[in-house]
Amino acid sequence: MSEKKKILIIEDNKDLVLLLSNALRSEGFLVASARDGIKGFKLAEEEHHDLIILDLDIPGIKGLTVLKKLRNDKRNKKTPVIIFSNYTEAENLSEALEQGVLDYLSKSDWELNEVVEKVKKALGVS
Amino acid sequence: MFLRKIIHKLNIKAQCKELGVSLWACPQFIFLIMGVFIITMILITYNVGQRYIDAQIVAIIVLFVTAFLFIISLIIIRAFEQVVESKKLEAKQAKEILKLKDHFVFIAAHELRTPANAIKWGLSSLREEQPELTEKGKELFDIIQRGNERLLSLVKDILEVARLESGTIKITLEKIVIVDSFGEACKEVQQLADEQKKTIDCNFQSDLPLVWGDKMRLKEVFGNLLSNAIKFGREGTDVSVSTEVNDTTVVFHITNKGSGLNSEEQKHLFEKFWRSKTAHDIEGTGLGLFITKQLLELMSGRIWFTSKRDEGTTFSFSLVRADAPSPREVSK
Repeated sequence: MSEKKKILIIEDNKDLVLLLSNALRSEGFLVASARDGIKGFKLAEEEHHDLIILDLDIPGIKGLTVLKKLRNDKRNKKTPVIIFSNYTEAENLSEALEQGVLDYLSKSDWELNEVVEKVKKALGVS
Repeated sequence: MFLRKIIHKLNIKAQCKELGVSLWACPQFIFLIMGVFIITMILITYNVGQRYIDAQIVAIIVLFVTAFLFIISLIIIRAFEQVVESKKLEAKQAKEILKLKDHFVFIAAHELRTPANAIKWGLSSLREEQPELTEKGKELFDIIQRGNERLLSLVKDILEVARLESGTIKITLEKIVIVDSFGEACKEVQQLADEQKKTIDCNFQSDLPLVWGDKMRLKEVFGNLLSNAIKFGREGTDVSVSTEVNDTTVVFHITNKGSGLNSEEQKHLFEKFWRSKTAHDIEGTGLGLFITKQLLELMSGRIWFTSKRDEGTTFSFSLVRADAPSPREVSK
């Protein structure tokens, strides 16, 4: 039996975290979450995750800073990251893409099931 | 450098222009005029006095006249300076208020998005949990979902307007294949067209020259204009798209057959939150055309329209050809 994939969600809104976590768990993923950038990076540093879902506008340290730290961290240099944010501005997008993110989703443009499908596709799970 | 400062200080006209006041309301100019007046009065007093009065008494009289005129001129100049200072303060306060307003709108809109997104996802999860809703239940569900979608759409547009007005929106100009942007936007509105029983040909092909534009923003412009054409068109009609190539521009025309606008309504079309009386049943924030116009102008483009009541409307916009000199990259 293949090992369950682990996903880390770094997002400060607890309702969105709850909804997304439930949806991902019902697809068989293990889900950890952090509601600020400092705790989120700590979790990523301590344990391997197959995918990180990262909001750009979080307390503690901002999402783009967390992303840069992840890319400088040995464990997370190549961890797939999906940016999931209210910000849709081109400047945030290009800076995030420079750090090698897998995808950049605007929260208001995507349905929950579409996000779950994106995650499944990213992890090669059908 | 020092010499330049001196010369600048002596350039009264330039200094008054910097203060934003006319010459006759400018303290530096008034000071000059009063100086000339005082010197003239001294000379007149001396010339008249020395004919009739003793030289020492003339000197005392001249001194008093000089002192008196000097004090008066100081009072007058000070009054003008206060007027200029209060104008500068008003302008500074107005600028700060504007900055605060933009910041507030930005924060408010951003903070509204978060709960609206939670509602959106909560509703879709609830629907999956409760697939067997009654007809009434489904209707209520749809009402909540529509309301929330409208809220999200309004917040998105308000944020965009706030960014446009505060000058924080960035446009990256590159040479683009305009038909590609059209194609992507068209696919996104295809569902809307199908739902409203209108037709639009998304396979529009044309050998158009490359144009200068921002890919993402151009797709947004097409999206706004196409969805408007669909929403305001009559059922069963089609939205037609045509192009025109000029020496320096490429022009797109998007036409629908619908209610159209009368001449009075046409004056307000690009205003924020303005909506036609015939639009009360049609979804929209009233900001789309304002945003579209601003985005096109940032790409050195232009938008215009022709419309006739009960016939329809054609929106046209132009973009600069990429084989023409490039508009400078704009970071407002």
